[in-house]
Parts: sequence; C-alpha cells; structure tokens
Amino acid sequence: MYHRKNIAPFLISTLAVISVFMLSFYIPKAQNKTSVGSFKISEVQDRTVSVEEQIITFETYDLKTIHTIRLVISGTYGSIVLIPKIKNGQPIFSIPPTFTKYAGSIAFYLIQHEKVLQDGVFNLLPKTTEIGLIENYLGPRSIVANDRDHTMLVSIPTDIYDNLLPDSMNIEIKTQFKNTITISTKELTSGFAWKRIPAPLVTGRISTGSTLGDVSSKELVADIFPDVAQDFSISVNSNHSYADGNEIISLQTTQIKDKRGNIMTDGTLVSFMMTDETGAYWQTNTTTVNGFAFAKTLHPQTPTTWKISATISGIASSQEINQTFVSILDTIPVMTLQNRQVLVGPLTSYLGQLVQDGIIVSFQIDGATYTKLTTNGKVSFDVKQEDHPKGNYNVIIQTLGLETTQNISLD
Amino acid sequence: MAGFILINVGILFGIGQVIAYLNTGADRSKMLHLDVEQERHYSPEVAWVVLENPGRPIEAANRKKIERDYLDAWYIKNTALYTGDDAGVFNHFTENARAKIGALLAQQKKDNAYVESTTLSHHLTLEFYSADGTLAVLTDKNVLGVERIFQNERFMYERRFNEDYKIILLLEDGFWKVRHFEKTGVHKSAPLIAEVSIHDELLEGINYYPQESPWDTFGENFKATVLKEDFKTIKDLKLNTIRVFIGYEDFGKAQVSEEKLDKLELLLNEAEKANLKVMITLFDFYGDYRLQDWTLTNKHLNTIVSRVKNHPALFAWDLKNEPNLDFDTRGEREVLAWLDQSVHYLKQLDSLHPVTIGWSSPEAALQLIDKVDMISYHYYQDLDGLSTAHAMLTSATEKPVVLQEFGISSYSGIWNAFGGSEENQYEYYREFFKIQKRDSINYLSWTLFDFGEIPSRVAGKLPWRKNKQAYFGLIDVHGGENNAYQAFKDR
Repeated sequence: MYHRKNIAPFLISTLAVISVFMLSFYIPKAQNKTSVGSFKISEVQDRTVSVEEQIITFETYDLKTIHTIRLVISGTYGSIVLIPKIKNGQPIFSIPPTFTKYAGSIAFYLIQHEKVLQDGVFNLLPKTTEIGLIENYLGPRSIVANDRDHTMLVSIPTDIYDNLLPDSMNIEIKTQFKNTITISTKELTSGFAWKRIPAPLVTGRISTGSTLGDVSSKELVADIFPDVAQDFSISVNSNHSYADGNEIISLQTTQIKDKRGNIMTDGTLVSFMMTDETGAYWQTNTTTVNGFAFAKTLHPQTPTTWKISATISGIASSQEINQTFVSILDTIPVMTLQNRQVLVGPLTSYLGQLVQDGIIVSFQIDGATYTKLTTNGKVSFDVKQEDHPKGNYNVIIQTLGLETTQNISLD
Repeated sequence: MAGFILINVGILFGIGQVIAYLNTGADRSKMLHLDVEQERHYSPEVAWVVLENPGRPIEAANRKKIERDYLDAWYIKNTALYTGDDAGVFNHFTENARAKIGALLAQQKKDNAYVESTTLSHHLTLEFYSADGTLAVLTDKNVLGVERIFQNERFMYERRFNEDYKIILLLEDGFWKVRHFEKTGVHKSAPLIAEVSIHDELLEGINYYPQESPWDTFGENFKATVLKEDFKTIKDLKLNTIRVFIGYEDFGKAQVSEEKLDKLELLLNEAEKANLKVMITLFDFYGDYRLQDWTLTNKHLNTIVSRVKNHPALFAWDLKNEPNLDFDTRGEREVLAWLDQSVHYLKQLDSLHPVTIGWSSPEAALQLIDKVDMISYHYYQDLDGLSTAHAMLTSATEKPVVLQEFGISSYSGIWNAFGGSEENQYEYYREFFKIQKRDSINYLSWTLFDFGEIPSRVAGKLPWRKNKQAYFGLIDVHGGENNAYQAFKDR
C-alpha cells in the first residue's frame, strides 16, 4: 500500500516556479536592446562557408552580466566555447574560421552558469560557386574483355574548403577507349557521383576523367585484358625421328586467343605434357609470347611413341598428337670376349657414325645386371672370376631398345 | 676475474639484443594489422539499418572491418579532443580530414579548452560500396552521445546529442580512413521513457547472500540446492522479496560471462519456485563512471538485462548500490551523469520492470527522483528517526519508497564491548515492525545470515568493522536462529 499524499502544495509551488521561468523568457519587443539579466541572440541564418569569421549578434543583452554568458557551438568534429566580445558597445560572438570553413549542421547553445538559455541549429552550406578539386576513384584497375566485367568510377567534387557539394549538381563523367569518347552527365547524390563502365570486348586501355564547371579531375586508367583462352592446337618439329637421345624436338602452339580473338597476354603459362609407351609421364612449362608458346625437349634413347598435349591449366587445352621415334640401330650390337672382358660395340648410328657418348648399355649374366655408358661408341664389362666361375653362360645385352642373347664360355 | 667474466657476459648479451632487434623487420602480419590489440575500450551499440547499395554487395567480414575502423575513428577523435594529442589520428583519417582535426585541436589549445565525449549508439546505412571495395559511403543516423566541455579547467556545459552524419571512407594502407565527415542533422535528444507503475502489494523482504559466499553469490560456491533451502527459509518468514547483487567485474565487465548468466537464471528459477520476487542490484563494486567507460557499462547492462528481463521472478532493477558514497572520490557530477544515462538506457532495454537506485541515506535518495520508478534508501541510524525520514521521502514523491537496507549487528565481541547483542537485535526488529506497520513501509532487511568471513573489499580490513558486518543476520553461523528471527516470525 503506497500512500498517496496530498500534492496540492507541491502543484502550487511548481506552477509558481514555471510562471517565473516563463516570465524570464518573455521578452517585449523593446526598442532598447538592453534588458536586465536577459539574453537572447538573433536568429542565425544558414550561410555559405567562408574563411571569414562569422558574427552572431544579440537581440537582448545586459552588459553588466555579459561576462557570464558563453556560446557553445558544435560542428562535425567537435565543440568549442565562445566568449562574447564587445564591438561598438554591442556584444557579439564571432565564430572562428575553424568552424566557418566547414559545411554541416552547427548546433549552438547559449549558456550561463552551466544552464542553457537558448539553443538552435544552423547550417553551413558548401561554396558551390568555387569548386576546389574533383577526386576520382577508379577500380578495379584491370578488367577482362567480356560482357560481364566492369570497372567503376566514383567522382567526389569538393569546394575550395574541401566540403562535399550538395545533391543535384551535375558532373560530367568522360571515358575514352581507342577512338571513342563517351560523356555522361550524372547528378551528385550524398556528395558523389558514380558510373559503372562496362568492359570493351577488345583489349586495350580505358581512360577516365570528370569535369564540373571548369574544374577537371586527374585522368585515371584501367587496363582491359583478354578473356579466358580458347582451346588451341599444337605441332611438333624435329630434324628426324630417330631415338638417338641427342636431337632436340620443338613443340609449339598456334596463337592462343580468347573467344573474341584477343591474343593472350604475354607470359601466359602453357604446360606441354608427354607420355611414352611405358606410361612414363613428364612435362615442360613455358610462357606465351604474342600468343605463341614454344618448348623444346630431347629425343628419347629408345624407340617409342609419345603422346603430346598442352594445357593452360584449368582453362584451355590442345588436341593430343603422337610422335613416333625409331631406333638408330637395325642390328644387334657386336660382342667380343677377351680374357673375361666383354666388349660391346662399336655402336653405329643410322649414317654409320658412332653413337654419341653416354648411351646406356646393360649386360646380364647369370641373373646379375651391369649397366655402363658408351665412350666412343663402345663399352666393356669385366666379368670377375669370383662372381662368375669358369663355365658356359647365356648373356643378354640391351641398348637403344634392342636386345641380343649370346652364349659365352669363360675360362 | 669474476667481474671480468660478468662484464663480458653483459657485453655479449647487449650485442645479442641489438642483433636480435635489428633482425626484427617488417612483419607480414603487421601489414594486415592482425596484431592490433583486440580489447575494446569503446563499444557503442551499432545497428546496420540498410546494407543494400547500388555499388556492390558487401561481405560480412568487410562490413565488420568498416564498422570497427569507423568506430575507432570516433574513439580516436574523441580521445584527441580530450587529451589534445593526435595519437592515432593518422591511422583513421586521410590527410585532408586530419587537417580539420588539427585545426580544431589548435583552436582548443588557443582557447585552453577540452572536450570529453563519447557516443552510445549508431545507426548505419551503407549508401555505397565501390566495385573494387576501397570506397564506402555511410550515413550514421541518430548518433546518441554526450559531450562535456571544459575551459580553463572549468566545467562549462554538458551536451546530450542526437545527430546525423555522412561519412566517406577510403581503404588506405589496410585501414578504412575517414575522407569526408559531415554533420547533416541535429535532433532533440530522445524523449524519456514512461515510468513504470508498480503493483500495490507491500514489499517485505530481505537482502540475500548465501551463508558460505557473502558478497559472492555467483561465485565458486554457487549451488542451486543451497538457494532452494535458503529461499524456503525466507518464505517461511512470510517474506515476498529478496535483493541480490551482481558484481560488475565478477560478471565480466563488458564481456559478460555466460556461466554467470546461467547462475543468475538458476537463482531466478529457484526464486520463482519459492514464489519470491527478486530485486537485482547491478554494478556492484563498480566505481569508474567516466564518459569513456559508458559504452562498456551499457554493453554489460544490455547483456544482463536482455537475458533475464522476461523472467517471471524479476521484480525490479536496482541500478547501483549506494552510489552517493562515490561522490567524494569520483565527483558528484560524474556519478549522477552516469546514473542518469544508465537509468535511461536500462529503461530502453526493459520498459516493464521498475528501476531504482539504492541510496545510502534518505537525504541522498532525493536525487534523480524524477528519473527512477521507485525511491530506495538505506537506514542504519537510530529507529527514532525512521518515521520522519520515510515521511520526508513519501511527501517528496508519489512514487513508491522502499527502505532497501536496514538492520543491526548482534556482534558483542571484544571489538564491540558496549555494542550489540542478540537481545538488542531482537528489540530493534520488534520496534521496527511497530513503525513499519504504522507507516506501511516497504522494506528489505539486512540480512538473512551471519557470515563467517567478510571479504576485505566490503568493509575494509579493520576488525571492528569487519566483525560487526558479519553479525547482521537472522540466522547465525551455525545455522541456528537468532532472536531476531523470532521477531520476524512474530511480526
């Protein structure tokens, strides 16, 4: 149970206070602006930003107590306290350029002893007659020549004091690509204008800029790169098709382009992949120049057929081509035996000349295999007594994809 | 010899340190500002009103980044205007915007003025986000905040504001920096929220801590079974309300601990089962009150209130216990301003439950009388004056008045040789109930239990204070009923 108290005395005293309070605000339209203990500043009109101090005058004031009066003004970044000055016998407030230069709403509070006597708002408007600078932002700076991609230009013009301009002013946005110049007029909203610039379908460089009145922005450019590569084809080129382990075979692509015929940017990575008959697999990587990619690789030592293809990983690929390599020897290599030394060779190539050094020759005897490289077309194997005692052996010799079996007798 | 070795060790260590320092170069993580500290000193409420924009859709991670950098810009600017030092301004404002702050700082220096300020809530609209994700245009409507202006070290004016802003941000060096910032509108501060009327049942209750964990209700010893038993004891005394305390730091400050909230909910559940109403005292042991701390206390408040405001056992919010005791150390204006804004915010969060402040004396309770729904005061003086004190308050307001703490210690040990005894305590309560019945006083007595150990932070280390504090209960440390218990029983 809460007690309801008689509130009549309270009400009366409250009314008394309120009426006194209201009286203090009742200001007769006096001829004489001075009025004891009463202060009011004249209505503050919206005004254009300026580097000059702005003056606020009093409608009523009392010079005796004017020193107790302050004006708090609060702009975008913060607030300051102004002290009245007396000019020609009249009190004024002067707002410093720190505030008057910057557009925005300014709240003001006329205070005395921490209490507000009057408050209000006025606006500082940007100086639309003097454009300072147009800042342009363009991005992305590299786009792709297709009908999906675009770049975007944002223009932010400001007046000479770096204030955003009001809505509905018009700004011209210009773009130039090759020989075409496009000009479009945009209205500022929230202080800026923007334009989506669709990618041209050919590669090149697009230039942009904007103009408001007689002020222009800097020029900004975006590069147009080709779209994704289309499939391409490859060819091989070699002096001969012998599996000599010495000749170099060249691989090359046709000019690689996107679907609108734009040549791939130099440096596009192309991988050539090769598989031989045994299933061995390897690749060589290269980059394009003017849309072409070239690669070189050594002929194999043994006759085989390669399957060759090329890809731009994940994007495009070529057809697969076959390249057959034939043996450089038709006959079994010669083998002679001298004092437990097995001589193979000389191995001769398709023109009868010695094969180059370093051809692999393998020799199998009694389950053991020995491998050596040729020097001057020849190779020799020493068969040691302790490994292979006296007797007859079947031995196998393999080189350059050929194989021969012979019977030898060791002492 | 030993000295020589030591000097050499010292020199080698020094050289080592220099080399180690020179080897620490640009760290990749620094480019992305991943090492920037994460503890927030400022976390106002932020609501994104609209994210759709004609430029391009925004990803959640970028929205968060923009929000954080934008709020940091506010924080940095406010700090600069307070300290006069432009630390951090470089990272959050572009060159042209920095010049504007610099000019204002110079003006302040000339005027010998500074401004203490914070903002409490923001309502953001993403007007535009450019295709390359490096330019964003925001409007921030109804930015609520406070600003205190000082000149020549004298307080001039406190301004509560509600304003609109337009902001253009550029992504530079990994930070969203303010390029343009413009106040576009000034509104009247938000209207006060309506008062809450309170049911007419007389409040009869007790301040409650579990016997084993005085001043630490939600600590390690928290057990629902203990609460259940204690609440039954309270209900047996035909009381209808308890008052419990939530420590600001105990609950985790701005990052309120989920575990503590669970415990609070368990307590409310037990109270509901026992048919007891709960008055929750918030911000216990809080003592900062600075403007810079407001967004953090608001976040704390928001988390707790949002969690339990629909609980049927909740009776009222007591914003702060005895805040007037902080007037001397923290400044009366600071404390009152904090209470004012916190009441306001609390009422925004929960418009159904009454809000009160637990003033330590009847005279202090006249403060903010228009803001709260219920007037609470504490009374530990002689009972002769109680009736007059209570009448003073009830005549000052039509709102309910609650005697939120009163009681007497039954301690009769060496530190209080001429003081209390169980008998005194019994007589005190007999006398109290006479006055209470006559004047229909809403009351919450101090307290249910005698306590074995009083934490030093409560009553200091002085034994005559501590020991006295331990014996205000109706039930002694062994669980036996003091005489005062009977006074309650027989009332």
